[in-house]
Amino acid sequence: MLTIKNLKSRVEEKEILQGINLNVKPGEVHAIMGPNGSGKSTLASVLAGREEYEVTGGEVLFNGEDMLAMSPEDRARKGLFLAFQYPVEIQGVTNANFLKTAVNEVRKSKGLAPLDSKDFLVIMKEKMKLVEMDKAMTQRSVNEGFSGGEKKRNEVFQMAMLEPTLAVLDETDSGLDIDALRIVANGVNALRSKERSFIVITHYQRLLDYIVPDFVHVLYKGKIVKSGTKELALELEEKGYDWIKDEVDGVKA
Amino acid sequence: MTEDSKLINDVANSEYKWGFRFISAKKNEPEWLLEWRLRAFRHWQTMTEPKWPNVHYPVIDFQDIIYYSAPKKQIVLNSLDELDPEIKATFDKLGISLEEQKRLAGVAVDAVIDSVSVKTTFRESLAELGIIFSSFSEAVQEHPELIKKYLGSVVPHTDNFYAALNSAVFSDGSFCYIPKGVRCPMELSTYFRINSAGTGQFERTLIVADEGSFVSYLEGCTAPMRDENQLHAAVVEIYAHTDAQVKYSTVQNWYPGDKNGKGGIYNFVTKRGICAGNNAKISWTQVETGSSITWKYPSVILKGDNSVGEFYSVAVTNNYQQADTGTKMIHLGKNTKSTIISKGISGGHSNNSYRGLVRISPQSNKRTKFLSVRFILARR
Amino acid sequence: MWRDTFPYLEVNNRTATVEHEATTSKVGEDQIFYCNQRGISTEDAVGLIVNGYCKEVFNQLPMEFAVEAQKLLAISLEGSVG
Repeated sequence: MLTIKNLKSRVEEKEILQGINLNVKPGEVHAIMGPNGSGKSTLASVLAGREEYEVTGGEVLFNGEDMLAMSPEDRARKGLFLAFQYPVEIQGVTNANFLKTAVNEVRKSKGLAPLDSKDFLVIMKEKMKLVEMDKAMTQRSVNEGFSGGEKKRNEVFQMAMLEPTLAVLDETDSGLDIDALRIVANGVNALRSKERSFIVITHYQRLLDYIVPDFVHVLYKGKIVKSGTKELALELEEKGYDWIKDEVDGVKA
Repeated sequence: MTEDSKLINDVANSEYKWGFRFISAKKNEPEWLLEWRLRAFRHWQTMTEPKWPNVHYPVIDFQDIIYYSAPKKQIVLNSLDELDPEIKATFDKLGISLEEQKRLAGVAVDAVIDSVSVKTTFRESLAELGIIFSSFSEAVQEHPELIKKYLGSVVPHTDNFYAALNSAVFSDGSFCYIPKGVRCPMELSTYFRINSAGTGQFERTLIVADEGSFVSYLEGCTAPMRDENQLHAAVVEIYAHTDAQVKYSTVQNWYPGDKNGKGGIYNFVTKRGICAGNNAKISWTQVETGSSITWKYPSVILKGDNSVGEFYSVAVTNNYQQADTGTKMIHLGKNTKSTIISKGISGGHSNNSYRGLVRISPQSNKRTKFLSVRFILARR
Repeated sequence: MWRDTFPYLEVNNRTATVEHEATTSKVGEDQIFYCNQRGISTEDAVGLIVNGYCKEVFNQLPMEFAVEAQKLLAISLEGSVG
């Protein structure tokens, strides 16, 4: 599905990613944890193709194709989805209209006919249940005036509509209360399948109680310094990140 | 080219350069209208071209007749195949029907598909309600008392440089009158007006809404308009009596010039309405995408108590287009209210300014207003 | 490229209420990227964003005019992005 080899990236002269290696197979859920500033969100942005993030080395293969050579929209059309940490507001564009445009663009790239309004509504109605969304929300402008929880639910709703093969969740748990967290996690779990993989980026272990990962990686200073299973997350929860920092920095010293 | 502009052209080329008497006679205008034109002309001669708009263009030689006449004959095409492919492509993108494309492009159409009969039916149903909707020169002949009463009542001939010029030399335009208590059942569009589709260089539009009436008036067309005349200086006047409502919508897409800004139209327009009576309402909505230079401030004088003025605008500029637009809301009556929503979108090397004035006079006591000006820039 | 606002307010009355808001903003890179990430091309994204931005004005237009105005806007902005 996804192979990241020695990926390096910088933003405004600052090296953030210093050689990431990661291999994600179909159906797997990988959690990426790490202290603030370790490069977690940068990794998400680089994968999605954000321009400001300059790739200075390494490669990323997505289903065997060179993903770094693709435009952001092509990556999306080929099945990459990023649930944004800070979903963007678009004034005057309804959620429904935005999603219909997106869904039909993805369909077009696959050689499928666009969905008409009726079919689209049927599908939308079904997917709305996943994140306990009401109809009014689809008629509101994209993320405009949404609460933090609504924005994150909306991200998962969009994911459900676009049916990606690889979803990257960038701190989807940040700013959520426990109820919202449960709704969002349930939505994500409902979308788990043998074909669909997830990269779940989070600072806290809490989310991983709900979305149980197959693997956990610790990112520190732009590198994956430790990998394990879900038990690693529990260990981090208990001991914090300091022992990892000590281990890494100690080695260096 | 219309008969009228041809006339002006002829006159202008004759040795009596500003032959008003001649134009007026040819158009069979009443003496008072000729006097009015002359007054405007004399006043215009004392004025200087405004330099305050944030637009830049070469000096216009107003004595050079080419600016107020159509120098070339309109080209008649035999079929749409002869149309500039770029314009044809735009027509298609806009989803304009083939028949409509022919009309707009000036392709000769045969009598069967000509829309004259449609227009006649349209006009008859309006006449039943007492609504007058005709060309300005027809109205001068048929309803001189109305024209005399309202012409210049909102935009006097002394108003500004271009309005004065327009008052002196205006060739034609539209006139609309809605009688007391009548709600105009359809949108009045300049497209349906009997005279030619071509837009005059110095157009004059006068809309009068009598007590308790309502009209929605549409000006322009989304299809790209080309014109041989570079300078356009129209005047639009709206007079709303007590309890009357006028909604005026414009979509303007005149030729903006090529990618380097060459050859576009200069559009210097004076548009103003007066809510003369209590509870009157005038609403301007405009979508401006064309012209190389646009200079336009649709305004409302809120004279009647509780009267309402609205201005909704989208102005798009791209490449080397320049736009300086906005509105004026003059609050005179008590409890008057105005809303201004202005959106400017600029891309390329274009220049897009908003200029607005809200004036609240001491004698009017209570009013609310909302002014919103926002800009968004297309990414380069 | 210039864009200026010259809002003149002359308020000669103390009881008047005037609300005034003037902002200049760019079609956000963030908004465009968000659309891109959902599979929408940059050109379509700009059209979508700009039309959304102008919606409250288009809502004032008669239905037919509004639809045409939207298409016109998209055409006018062609070549201004990328």
